[in-house]
Amino acid sequence: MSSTTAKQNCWGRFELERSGRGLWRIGPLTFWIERTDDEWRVATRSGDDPWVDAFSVECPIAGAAEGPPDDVAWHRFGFRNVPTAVVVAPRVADRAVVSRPEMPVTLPPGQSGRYYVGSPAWVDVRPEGADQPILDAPTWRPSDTWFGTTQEGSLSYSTRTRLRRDLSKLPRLRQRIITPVQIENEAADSLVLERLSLPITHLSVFEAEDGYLWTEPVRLRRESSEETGAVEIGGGPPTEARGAPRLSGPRDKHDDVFVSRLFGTLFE
Amino acid sequence: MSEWSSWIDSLRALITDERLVMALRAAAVLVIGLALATIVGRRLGAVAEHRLDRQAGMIAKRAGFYGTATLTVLWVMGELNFSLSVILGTAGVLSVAIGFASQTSASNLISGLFLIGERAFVVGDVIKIGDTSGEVLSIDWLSVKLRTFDNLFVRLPNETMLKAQVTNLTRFPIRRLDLQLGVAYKEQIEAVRSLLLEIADKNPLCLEEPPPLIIFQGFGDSAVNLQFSVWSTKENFLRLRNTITEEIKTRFDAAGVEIPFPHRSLYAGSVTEPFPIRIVAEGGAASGQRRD
Repeated sequence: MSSTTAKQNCWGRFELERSGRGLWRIGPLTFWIERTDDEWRVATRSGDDPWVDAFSVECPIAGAAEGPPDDVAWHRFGFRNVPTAVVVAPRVADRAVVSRPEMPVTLPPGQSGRYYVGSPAWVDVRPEGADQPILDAPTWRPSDTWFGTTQEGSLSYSTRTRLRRDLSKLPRLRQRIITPVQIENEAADSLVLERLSLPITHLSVFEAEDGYLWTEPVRLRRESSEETGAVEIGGGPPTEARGAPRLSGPRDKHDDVFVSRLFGTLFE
Repeated sequence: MSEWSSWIDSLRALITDERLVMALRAAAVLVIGLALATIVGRRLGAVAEHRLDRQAGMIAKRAGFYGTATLTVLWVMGELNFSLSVILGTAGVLSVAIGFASQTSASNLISGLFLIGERAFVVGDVIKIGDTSGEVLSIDWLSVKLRTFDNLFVRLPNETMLKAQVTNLTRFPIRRLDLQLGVAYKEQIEAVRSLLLEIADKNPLCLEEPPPLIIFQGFGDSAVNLQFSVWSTKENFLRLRNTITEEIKTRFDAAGVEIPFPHRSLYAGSVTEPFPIRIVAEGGAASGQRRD
């Protein structure tokens, strides 16, 4: 029971005895997990500030049991044979994320650039061996945004951070995931990049040695003047996090190369 | 023993009676045919719903059932030795009388075909017609059935639907919420605009794109009138309307932005007596003093 008490990394496998309770603080998200005779219980509380630098776990909670405030409700999950441990892992967002550069960027024909997109991590908690998570919540809930026209398009999340060429300008927090994006303009005309929709649900999450989270690198090739492009997803962690272990897989399956609507112009 | 053999004889005579055999065969065809029609209708409906949508499923289900049922009825009439030409002839004579009697039904029936073909709304959409809003439960031969939000069942004749203006609230994936606001004349409009944009930015249900819109609506009697327009998905529309209204009130109160109520200046006029004023002591009765 006490083997995981002092564990500092919030991700991984955590054992709890009956009536044991753990507390995680990951960015603005705080959650409690409790094991009873026949249930796992989860309670969450979300903060408003996405830039809270918190990353701690206490499992099991030592001393007087610190529980969630009274206004936070427990969600209960019943099991025939209650697993003794839970696995906590970061995941990518459950929809595409849309990011925009600080100012529109023009890529002339034949040119390319490497950019970085930051997005909040989701927390996936599942009892060991279970197929379904008992918690799949964002560390911070981004705003919705629409990618398309008012008559058709897709619901996405808007990243609070800009699409950056310089990695050091992205806020580095352990509850955020960075995706390197290589954009190549192979079309005959220039690409004016105002918004980029990253199909992040197809990506895995890796944890670098310094604890920061990364996804595979993504290569976006624009081959014609259409707003669609070919998406190629790298086979492992990016060079910036070489050798980083994979903590979770993609939400959606994908082919090595697929076509997606990526480059958005603003609404007319 | 003789009673028993006579009973057997009468039963044998009954079985060899052609009319009974014919009727039994027709009944069997009818029962099996209608059962088959139900199965065919359900199957077709399920496949169409799975591959297309609920409305296509409903149409396929009916087409399957009525098509098979019609074939069954024709078969049954054949079994009963009815002549189809005689029936059609009789129908021709009756059709004039039936036509006059069923003008409304025929109109609704044809209107229903147009409604289904035009696809201005489909089963599952939320529509508004006149003062009635609700979810479309079915588009039938004669009428459209709605379930209102207070869980009432409303039947609207197809002919009415075809003639009336129908607003489909869920046709497009996103909707714009227009809030009419009034702020006091003393407020800085630019500061109010920044505050509203910040409120929209912090509400996760409010779409970042298309961007929120603030439109100056004019100088009102008591306030500067603004329209604050924000977008949301059709599913989150009501939640956004509730949350953002609450947030505007909270943030305006916190920032000291006044939402004025109508002001009225009462003028007694030069020829009328001044208003009497009574001074009331704290916690006590009126002093009865009169000041002109």
